[in-house]
Order: sequence, then structure tokens, then C-alpha cells
Amino acid sequence: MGYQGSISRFFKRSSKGIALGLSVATLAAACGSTASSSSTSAPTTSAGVVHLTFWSWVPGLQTSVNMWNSSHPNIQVKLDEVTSGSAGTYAKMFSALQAGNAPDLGQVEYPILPNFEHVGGLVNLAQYGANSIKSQFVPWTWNQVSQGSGVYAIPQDTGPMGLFYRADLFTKYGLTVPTTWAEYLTDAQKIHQQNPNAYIAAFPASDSAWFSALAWQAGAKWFNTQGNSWVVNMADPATQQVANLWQTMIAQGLVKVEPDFSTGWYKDLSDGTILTWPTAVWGENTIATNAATTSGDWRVAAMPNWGTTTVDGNWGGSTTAVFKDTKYPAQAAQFAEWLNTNSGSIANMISTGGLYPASLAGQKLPAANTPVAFYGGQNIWQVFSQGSKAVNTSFLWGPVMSTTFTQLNDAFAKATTGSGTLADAVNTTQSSTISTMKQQGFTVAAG
Amino acid sequence: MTILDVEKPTRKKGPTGAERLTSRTSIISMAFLFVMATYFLVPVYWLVISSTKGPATLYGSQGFWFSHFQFFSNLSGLFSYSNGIFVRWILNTVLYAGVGATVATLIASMAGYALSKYNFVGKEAVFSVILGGVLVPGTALALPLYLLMTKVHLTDTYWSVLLPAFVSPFGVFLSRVYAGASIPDELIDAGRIDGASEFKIFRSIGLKIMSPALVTIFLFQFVAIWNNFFLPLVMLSNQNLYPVTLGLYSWDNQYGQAPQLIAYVVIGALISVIPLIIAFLSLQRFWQTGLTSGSVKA
Amino acid sequence: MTTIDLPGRAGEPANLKQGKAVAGKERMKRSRGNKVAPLLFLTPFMVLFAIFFLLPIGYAIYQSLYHSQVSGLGLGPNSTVTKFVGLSNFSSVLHDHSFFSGLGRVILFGIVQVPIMLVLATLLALLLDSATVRLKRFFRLAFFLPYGVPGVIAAILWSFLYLPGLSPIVSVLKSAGFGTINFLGIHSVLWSIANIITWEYTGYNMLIIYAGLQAIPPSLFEAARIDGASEIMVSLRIKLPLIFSSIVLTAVFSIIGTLQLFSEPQVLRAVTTNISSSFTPNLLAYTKAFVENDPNTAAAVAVILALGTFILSFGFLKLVQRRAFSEVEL
Repeated sequence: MGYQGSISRFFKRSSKGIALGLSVATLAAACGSTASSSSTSAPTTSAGVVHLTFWSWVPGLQTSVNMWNSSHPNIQVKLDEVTSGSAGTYAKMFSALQAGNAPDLGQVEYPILPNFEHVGGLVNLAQYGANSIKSQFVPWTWNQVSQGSGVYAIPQDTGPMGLFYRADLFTKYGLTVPTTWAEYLTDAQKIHQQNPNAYIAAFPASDSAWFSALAWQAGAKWFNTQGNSWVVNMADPATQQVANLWQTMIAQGLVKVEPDFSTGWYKDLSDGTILTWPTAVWGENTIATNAATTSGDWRVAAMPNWGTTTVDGNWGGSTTAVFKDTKYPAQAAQFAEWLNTNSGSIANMISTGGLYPASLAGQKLPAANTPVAFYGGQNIWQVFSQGSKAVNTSFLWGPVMSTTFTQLNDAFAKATTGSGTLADAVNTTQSSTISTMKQQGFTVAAG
Repeated sequence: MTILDVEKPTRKKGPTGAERLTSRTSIISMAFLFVMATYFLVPVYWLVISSTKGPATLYGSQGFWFSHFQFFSNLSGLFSYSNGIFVRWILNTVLYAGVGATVATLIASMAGYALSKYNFVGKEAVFSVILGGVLVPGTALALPLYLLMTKVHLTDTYWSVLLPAFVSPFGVFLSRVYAGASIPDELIDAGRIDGASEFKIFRSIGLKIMSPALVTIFLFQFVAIWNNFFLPLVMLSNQNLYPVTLGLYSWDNQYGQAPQLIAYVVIGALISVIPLIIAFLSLQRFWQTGLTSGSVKA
Repeated sequence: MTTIDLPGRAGEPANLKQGKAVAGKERMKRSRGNKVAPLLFLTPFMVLFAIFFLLPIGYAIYQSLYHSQVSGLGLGPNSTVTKFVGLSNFSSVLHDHSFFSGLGRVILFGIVQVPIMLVLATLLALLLDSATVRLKRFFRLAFFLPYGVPGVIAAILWSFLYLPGLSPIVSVLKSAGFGTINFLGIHSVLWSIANIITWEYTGYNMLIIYAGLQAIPPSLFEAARIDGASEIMVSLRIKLPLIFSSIVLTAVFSIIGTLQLFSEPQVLRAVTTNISSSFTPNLLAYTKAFVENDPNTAAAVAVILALGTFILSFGFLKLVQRRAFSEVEL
């Protein structure tokens, strides 16, 4: 009982696990089934049918799992529909890893991957041929799931950003769609002059992941590694630029400070209180379902930019990871690779799960290329496939990202209620994250 | 002895001459009571009104009056959404609260009876420890309990929510006080002289006399389990095992993807309150009695 | 003596004399009863109590003394170990500004909300017990109804009633000339939570106190009434002292509840940015454990919180105990 016991047990088990895993991998390679999406001859164990458990919160994923189960009778996957990661599932995964009974596979978002890596919770999928499918994915996703030659998860979906805006109200207020953030600010002022109760956007102070996506777009590079130490650079000029813009808009009352994905915010999206939402591709579904009365009024444009070259950021997206407690790492890896490369499975995730695939081929599927009636028949996907190509590939997440986000949320909440600015909040979080990391023993170099 | 002396089931309070007050005081008290009743009932009234609305009118119409009455389609939607999982949540809750409170009541009354009617070494120490348990915040226990449950592979099972519900330190406290005040030692001695076993005496004399306290313990534990949010939140991942509170909370967090859920949250909240109200109303007579003994001792 | 038919509330009046009666009974208690029987009666409870109360407490204490320690980049399976760190988790919690602001917040909350709720509950109970009030059944049900609404549901319900633009209350107040009241502002949100708690638990506390009132033998105040004492005098001079211990009980439960404050702020976080992750100590513990994956610090917070609750509620009991019992023996 206790940590030390479970840690030492974990070391014993994992070394055995790797040995076993390697021999199975050899076998799997011999069967030629690794990473092949059409394979039906799964390697069987002496037990006959292999059963895997998979924790995910993606709606409609069961259909993809059913496809796999019917084509792979010897590897049966059981899907547990859990609440989303940050709503408690990550915590459960971490404790299950500690107790040595984590599920075989799990849904993990990109920012949390380093956290799972540093508790040793993930199976290195490079042993099972994962590197051979690297070229099938959007480049930045692969950078975030790999460390050197190790691969710790298979990218599933992404969230390239675009600017959702109310075309009807833009006409009404006589605005042009902004291509730079400077124009965005000007539009914000014009709107507010004409209607003090209308705002260009909401500033969700409690959703710093959204802010991180804007910083990513501006060219920020919050975390990096240098030799054996982490470099933390959250307050770099790119981030300051983003913070200052939104600070200006908050100070002038041009944006409404309120939580996103809340009842009040949905209402503001519906009744024209908020005119734009710079967000990821999956925001398409959020608006369409929660502001249904505005059908035909919204359009999507490329994100406003900071310079002359088009750069995009990314918000959200997740991966399929294999946890270290699995008895069948090779089969689990095979499933993770199939799930995110098989065209039938991807098509299902696009249409029922609302995901925008990390697979390059997946982005070309008809499901992700059809004009959408809600957006006045615009083929909004083109904006995002362009954006996806322009996403800054060198952005990396830190090892204690959930703490960093919490600290940034709390600092933003203070800033938006009158004590300090967003830039101050970023600076505060920079130093509090460094001190958290040092406290936990990470080597941190000055950013 | 003392108990049987005062066998007065109800207290009649006919207004005597001295009780008649100036009508002014009376009017002020009634007015105050009506104001308070309004305060307590307005949100419930809102809930009832809102349960008749769809997602659009919920946001778009005056909250205190009807608009586009669709109570029955909400109701059928609630019971059919996601293969009728709401029914399953209600049944789970009844299982957790019903079984949990029944077992908790039996176990606690046995312990309280023993602490009251027997002398043994360390009795007071045991009681103090149990009393301390009443004061430990439940949420402080949930987390370590979760980690312990993980180790024995019990998380995400019915047992992970049910087993902790079997323990009611408050129930032990209440049944000890009640047993002390209401079960005459002479009666127990008489039973012993008749040759009844200790357990038989407990069952036929103890439980019978303690029944008002048992109803109270049962109801309080029932409500505590019914209301408990933190423990199932921590323990359960599988939606099929959720109690109704956690289920509605998960819907409340999901309605961004499926807006009709907000209407189901509202009507689901209304439906989930009804069984509790019925339980309380029908058992009211008993549990008020049981309560009194506990409060006096504290 | 032959009948054990005890209808209604036969037991209570005896309790009022408990100060003496219990003492007498303890002495009378038989030791000749089976020695094994009490053990058997106690075993099921004690076993479960040990597993589900004592063990987790012990485990939390144990956990609070360890912390995971990373080396270098913290990547790869051998980079994280768990170390014994003594009391350093406690010192880091006790040096954490946000812990104290959360603690200060719930203490302020308790100082304001608990007395308001209990005064209200006592007042309502006295009114319902007085002879002059009609419609008692209706009022009792109306006051108690909110307790039947689970905390999470109540918080969701009130979150609708607080949202500007959605809330009928906000719009009614606005048309009544109060302006747009922001229930979810940085300063008001704590009191909006206080309102939810008051709404939920006043009726429950009222019933505990009301039950205490019902147990008072009418003979104790009928004489006073005949002597011409007003209903108010009867309530203040005779009834109130007699139900003092009931009020103490509700106060202790309210203090415990206040320090545990979690569900309501957690639910309201979805509709306002003004509730931080460390708004209450319990929310801080939850964030540490479930958002930041730091069960050790969370355990330290939980231990401090449990200890604090214990000291506060026990201290409160000690403070009023002598008085409570002397009043009961009136």
C-alpha cells in the first residue's frame, strides 16, 4: 500500500511488461499486421480473444469501436464512456495508474500528455511500429505526441482556428471582416460606438486554454527543452502582444467578460450581443446547436493575423494513448493506430463526434468537406484545412499544464476584476509555474 | 420508568383566553410567514413552470409564466433519451439510498443499542471516536477513499458508492441517546429472565421501542445518500452506475452538444425531487419524534 | 410497565430530564449481560467504520507526508519517484496565500450566513409552534421543500435565477427600479452562494428546532399563559431556553457544512469567472487532487480542513455545553 510500494511494484511490472511487449511486437511484426488498417488477422494470445478497455468521452465513438470489433474478432475493445478529461477523468486515470489498474487505452488531450509521460504512465508505441505512420498526420501533432524517437500517443483530432462572425450584423454595422488584429480592434470600437450593448467577442477569463491558442497563433513558444532542463517562456513578446490587445479591449469595454460554454454566453451568441468568436473548427457545432435561431447568419474567415504571413494556432484536439498497465500493449497499439487512420472510423468521428481529424487523409474525406447550411452554405472546412497547414509546428506543452492553466485562469480572473492587467497575469503565471515545476523537482532554465 | 410516565401522544393547544393576542401581532406573523413561504417556493415554482418549456422558450420567454406548453413531450424525451438512462439513474439512486440507508440504520441501531445498554471496557472511548466521525467532513474522506478503492479494484462499481453509505456515525449517536432514554433496563432484564437471547431481546424489544429513531436515521441517511454528489463524482466513471444527481450534473455540462438536454435537466430535477417529498410526508410523524431525542443530548 | 406501546413522541419529555436520568441509569447498567453480545452488536459498525472512516483518515495523513519528486525533464518511466517529505506539504499549504483567502472566505461566510439562517429557522419554528398561526401544515411543507432538492440541483436551479438576461428575478427587480443587479459579481457571488445555502437548509434546521419545541411539555408554559404572559414572552422566556440545545445541534452541523462548502461554488463556476479554483478550501483540495494531479497536497489540505472543522465544532460545543445542559435541566 502507498506510493512507494506501488511505485516499486510498477517498476517490476513495467520491466516485465516491456519484455513481454517486445516479444509480442516481434510476433506482430512477423504477421505484418502492425499499423495496417486493413488487417483482420490480429495476433492471438494463448487466451484466445484479447479484451481491451478504452476510456473516452467522444460522442458516437462506439460506432468506430463496433467497426473494429466486427473486423477483429480476436481483439475485442470495450468502450467506457466517461466524463471529459478535465471534469475528473484525468484524475481517475492518474490514480488508476498509481494503483496499477489503468484501462488499456484512453483519450488524452495534447497539453496533458507530458504530464502522463512524466509519471511514466504511457507505453512507448515506437516499439509497435508507430513511427511508420508519422507521415500520415499533421506535423505539429506528431511533434506533440513524440519525444525524440519515442511515440507516446496516436493523434486523433485537432482544432485549427478560424474567425466565426455574424455576417448579417457585420453588414448592419458596416464592418469589413478583419484580416489583422489591428483591424479587429478597430471593428470592435465601431461596433461599440453604434451599440453599447453589443461586443465584438467575449473574453472567457476562466478558459486560459483559449488564450493559449491565441498565443500559439501569435508565435509564442511557452515551453521548450534544452538538454536536460525545461525552458519556460510564457511571457514572451508574442504572448504579451495578445495579452495587451485583449487588455485594451477589456479596458475600453469592447469585449464582454464571461465564461464560454455557459448559458449566458449561448444566449449572447444567439441574440447578437456577441458578434465574433475566434475559435477552433469544432466551434462550428457549438454555435449551430446553441444558437440555432441564427441559422444562415454566421460565416467563417481565416484568423486575423499579427503580421503579413498567415499563421494559425490550434485549440484542443486529443490523442489515443496506451497506458502502461495494459497486458496487451501490441494489440492496444494496433487498435489506437487503426482508430485514427482507418477511413471508416475517421468518417464516423467527423460526422458523429464532430472531430476534425489529425490524419491528413482524413481531412480530405467528404464528411469534412461538405458545405454547411447553417453557415449559409459556406464550405467552412476550406478555411480550416488552410489553417491546419499554417499551424505553428514548434509549440510545445509543459509538464504541469493543468496547474499552469489553473494558475492562468485565477490570474485572469483577478485581472478582469480590476487588479492588474492580463500582461501582469501572464507574468505571474510564468513565475508561479516555474516555482511549481522546481518544487516538483524539474530542472528549469531561465526563459 | 420516566418515559412511561408521560404518555401523552399529542399536545392540544386550543386558544385559551391568555393566548389570544392582539390581531396586529398575528397579522405581522402571518405576513412574515407568507413572505418566507414565497422565498422558499419561488424557485420551485420556476422549476415547475420551466419543466413545461423547451430549450428555446426556456431562454426566450418570461420565466415566471407558461409559454409553449410541452411538459409531456419533455417528459417522454426525458425518459427515452439515451435509451432511457434517466430511469436507470433513478433506479440506481433508489438502490443506493434505499439499500444504503436500510443497512446503515440496522448497523447503527445495533451499535447504538450496545453502547447504551451494556457496560464494557473502552465503551466511552469507542463512543468518542464514533462521535468524532460525525464531525469529519465527508468530502475530506472521499479522496483517500477513492485511492484505497482503486487499490482493491472497487472503483466504478455499485459497491464503491454503496459500501461507504452503510456507515452512519450520526445514526449510532442518535440510537444510543434514544435507546438510553426510551428502553427501560427492567424490560431487558425481564427478557433475560424469560431466557431470551441477547439478540432476540434486541430484535423484539430494542428495535420495536427504537422505531421512531430508526425512521429518523433511515430518512436522514436516505437523504444524505440521495444528495451525495462528491462521492459518486469521484468513484464512478460508467454512466450506467450514476445516481440521478450525478447524471443530471453530467447533462448540465453536456448541453452545449445537445441543447434539448437543458430541458431534460429541468424536468429531471423536478421528477427526482418527488420521491423524496413523498417519503418525508408519509413518515413525518415518526421522524420528528426521533429527532427530538438527538437534539436534546447534543 | 407491562406495555411497551409507545405511541407518538412518548420518549422526549424524559430526555429533558436527561441530565439526571441518564446519570442514574448508567449506574444501574447491568454488567451481568452477556459479555460477547455488545461486541457482536458493535462489530459490523466498527468494522465498516474502521474501513470507511479511520482507514481513509489514516491514509490521508500518510499521503500528506509524501510528495512525488521529478528529476531533470521528468520524461521517461524512471524520472518520477515518491519521497517522504515530512511536514513540508503542510508548510506549503500554510504558506499558500490562496488557501488562507479561501479559508477567510468560508469563515466570513459562516459568521454571516450561519447566524442569519439559524435566527430565521428559530423564528419560523417558534411561529409555527405558537398558537396564533394558521395554515401550519402548508408552511411546514413550504419551508421544508427546498431540503428535498439535492444541493447540486439547487445550485443549477439558482444559477438560472442569477443569470442576467435569463433570470426572471433580475428582470423583475429591474422593472421594480432596482437597476440590473449582478448576482455573480466578484463581491456579490459569495452572498449569492449564501442565499442558496440559506434556501436549502433553513427548513431543515427549522424542523430540528421545531421538533425540540414539540417535545416541551405544555405544562411548562400553560401556567405562564394563564398568568397573562404574551405569546412573545412565552417564546423568549420559556421556549427559547428549552430548545437551546437543538439550536446548538443545528449550529454544529452548519459550521461543518460551511467549512465543507463545495458543490454550490463548483456548479456556479460554470456561469461566472469570479469563483477561483481556490475559492473555498474544499475546492482547493479538489483542484489539487483532480485537476492538478497532486493528491499529496490535496491530502494535506483535507487533513488541515478536517482538523480545523473538528476543533471549531468541538470548541463550539464545549463553549455552549455547560449552558446547554443547565438550561435543559430547568
